[in-house]
Amino acid sequence: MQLRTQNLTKNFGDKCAVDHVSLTFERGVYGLLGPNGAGKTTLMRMLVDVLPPSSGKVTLDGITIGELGAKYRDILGYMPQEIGYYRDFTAKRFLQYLSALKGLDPRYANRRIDELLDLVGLADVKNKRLGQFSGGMIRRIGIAQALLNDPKILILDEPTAGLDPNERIRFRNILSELSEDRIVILSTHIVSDVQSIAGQVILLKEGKVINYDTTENLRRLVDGKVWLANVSHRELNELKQRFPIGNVLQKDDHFEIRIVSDSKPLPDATPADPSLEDVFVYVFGGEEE
Amino acid sequence: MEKNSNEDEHIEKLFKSVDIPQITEKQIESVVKVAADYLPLGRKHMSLWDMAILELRTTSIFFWAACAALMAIAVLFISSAESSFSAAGIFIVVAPAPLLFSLLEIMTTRTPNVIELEKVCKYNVNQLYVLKIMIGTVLNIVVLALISVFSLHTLNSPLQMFLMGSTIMLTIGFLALLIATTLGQSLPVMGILAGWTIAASMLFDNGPKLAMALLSIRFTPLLITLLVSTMLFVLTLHSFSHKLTSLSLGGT
Amino acid sequence: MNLIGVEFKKIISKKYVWIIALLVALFYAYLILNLANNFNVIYTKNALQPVFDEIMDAAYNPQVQEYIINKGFNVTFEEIQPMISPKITQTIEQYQGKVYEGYDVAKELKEEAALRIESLVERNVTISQRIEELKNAPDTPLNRYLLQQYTHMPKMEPNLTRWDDWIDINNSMLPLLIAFVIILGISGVYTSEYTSKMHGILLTTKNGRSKLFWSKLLASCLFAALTVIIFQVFAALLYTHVYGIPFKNTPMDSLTSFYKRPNTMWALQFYLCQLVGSLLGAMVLTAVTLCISSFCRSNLASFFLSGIYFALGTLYSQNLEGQYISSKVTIFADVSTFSLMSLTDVLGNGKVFIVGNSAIPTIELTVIAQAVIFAVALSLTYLFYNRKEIDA
Repeated sequence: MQLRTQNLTKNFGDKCAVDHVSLTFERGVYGLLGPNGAGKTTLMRMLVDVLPPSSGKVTLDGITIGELGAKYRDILGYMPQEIGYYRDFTAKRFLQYLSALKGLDPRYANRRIDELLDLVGLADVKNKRLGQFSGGMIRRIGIAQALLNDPKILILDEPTAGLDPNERIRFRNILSELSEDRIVILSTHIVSDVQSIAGQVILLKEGKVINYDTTENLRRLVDGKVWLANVSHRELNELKQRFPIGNVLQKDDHFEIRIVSDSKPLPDATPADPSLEDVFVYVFGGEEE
Repeated sequence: MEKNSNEDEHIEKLFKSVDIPQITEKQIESVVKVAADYLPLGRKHMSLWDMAILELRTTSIFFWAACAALMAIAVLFISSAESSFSAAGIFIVVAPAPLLFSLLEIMTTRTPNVIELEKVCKYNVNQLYVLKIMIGTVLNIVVLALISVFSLHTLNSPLQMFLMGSTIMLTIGFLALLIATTLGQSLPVMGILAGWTIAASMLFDNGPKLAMALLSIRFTPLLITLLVSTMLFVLTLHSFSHKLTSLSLGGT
Repeated sequence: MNLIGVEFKKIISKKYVWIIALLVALFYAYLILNLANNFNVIYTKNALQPVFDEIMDAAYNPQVQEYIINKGFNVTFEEIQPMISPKITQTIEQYQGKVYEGYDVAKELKEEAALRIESLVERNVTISQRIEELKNAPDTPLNRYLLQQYTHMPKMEPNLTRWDDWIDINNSMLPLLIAFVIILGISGVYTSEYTSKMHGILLTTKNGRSKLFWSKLLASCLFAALTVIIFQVFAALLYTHVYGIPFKNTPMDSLTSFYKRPNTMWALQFYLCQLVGSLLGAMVLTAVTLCISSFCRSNLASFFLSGIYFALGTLYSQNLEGQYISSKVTIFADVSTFSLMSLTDVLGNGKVFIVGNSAIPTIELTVIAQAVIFAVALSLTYLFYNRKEIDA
């Protein structure tokens, strides 16, 4: 199974949100990373065929997803950035409704719903109205609905936002298990999630693919370029003007900072192991995520 | 004196021994700027009147356009009405519209989560929403007064019609607020407006006797009805503003 | 899970639709019931219905006809009493001495009986003259059409049935009420999905496009049909209570509202057509409302635009009532959804549209136009819903 985008472009008026993106997805987990407005959500919406591209196409094994229509959606699971729901539906009824829309056999669907509610930790509240759910619970329902039809292609737009650390770990484990025989594409603001789940990372900036590689190879981009240093407030402000700064941690009377620089930025700076966050800082120059 | 001059000398020596750097004005400015970041921002005192002006200025252009169009159409139709009975019918149909427009404006131009931001502001949000509706009410009264003035020659008793219009405005406003408070959606409020338009048209089309009876209500009973509807309106206005500000907020 | 059932439940679970509809319906009922005690409603027609055949015989009696024509269509009951069936007098005399709302019932009924006979004679004379005029008039499509209609009209009867009132049910208020409830209920079918951010999920499910579209359409049509049935039954019950069931069928040309209109139908046939028109119009309105709902971002905008669509046709159509020729100016009102739901103007008045050398009954154009609107609205709904771009 191969999902491909060929010169995929989307314009909103004068603004080009996605610019000639050509990517190939095969089995595995792919992480989409980029600052706000990079075109991640637009790209995902084109991948799930809810947003028509201005030019280019998305194909599955050589056939455009538009031609495949319901056949494509039959193997697709999608979790949007903002989960919509009916306030008056119970969790179980909501999933039953979506199972019907996904064309699942009711007997299988009921079994699957129970499994998934258990998986996302909502089995106890399955008969509670969604209107009474917290934001995190709604996201878990969003994850469950995406998995209802055991999709071969799973596209998740910021799935871990609003989840507590335990839920995030649980979700990461679910995804790792699922990735064996399917394509999983996710975007997230939490770089550590991508680092721990995604085998391949796509870096997007202003609608263009800046880099596309495994997390290991991406990390090598900043090998020997990540430095740890202890600085004062004044020095920190000066350094911000000169280098991309990663994590800043305030200690008693100074700050411990991660600097991404080709050369040693300060005499007392010590080299550090690179992380995907450092790659993000290096590539996007410390832009807001 | 002796002691003092020794001390001065000592201080002078100390100053000479330390190298005091020359600081430029630019450097001082930049330090002040950094320091300013840590100071609280100055707050301007706002009176209720200032808030009302602010609300008026931030009201959607569609609301003003709808009120202006309504007034123009009402005056045009009333002026060209075949009889004072038809003119009164048109007046009654449009009577509660501006107030309901303002309620719709409040309900549609805000997302539910705005309350989260409004709640952390200095002013009591209940008062803010009461103020918004009151602006709509006052505007409705002004529109009714203007229509009455512009249609003096067609409407039989403009003062009576004005009081009747105000009573209807408050009664329908009460119903709309009640529905808005219970359901918290804008479509039912629009439904009340459309429902009223149809019901009033039916009254003047199919039940002229009843309509005549309504139009011939005497001054004192009319004032009493006005008073009762005002009380009902104020009560629901209170619960509406309270409902808006006690919405349960999601989040973890 | 049955998708149509879920969609239907979603529509009918909006309590405010029923609350507001109930309020307006109760007001409508109050207005109609208010008429129940009128003198005209209780006595004028009802009291003379037992002598319907005798009044008709009198109007077609050559001696009575000659007398009325000679008197210039201005006679009293006493003048024609010797020439008409004594049963009429006996029936009226049952009410001798009875006074209602200040009216002397027997006296009023005598006047009414004389008026019914006189009016029927006058109408028959006028129609015969009109037919003669048309036979000698230039051969135009309109004249040909009018002659064809007038010569094929059923035999005129005294206007003693309550069909005038029954046909008036669908004249304006009931279509408005039905349209109001349909728009209120259906305007949120798609916009609610957008506002609750559900469409992203729906569009990416296997059945979330065409199957969901059909489910929503069928559920909405079911809701519209139910609304029509409920309101028509409600109105019929009200009218039965106030006026009673029309005691016999009668030709449309016998009714005051449709006299001299080129209409060859019978009242019951027309009323049934109105019921069908109401149902078909409701379906078209449903399709248009769904279409508007599919491209609007808010329920309110959808309700407002759908309301404007229906209200424009209604207002325009109401200003044209009473004509029997459609022109390029009036055709937009004649083919409106309101016209199909009411049918009083286009079908009741036997309206016709002249194109070149032929006269086309306007109702045909109304049905064709509405069918086109229905098809176009549904196609656009499918297109808009499936191509709805989600906010970035």
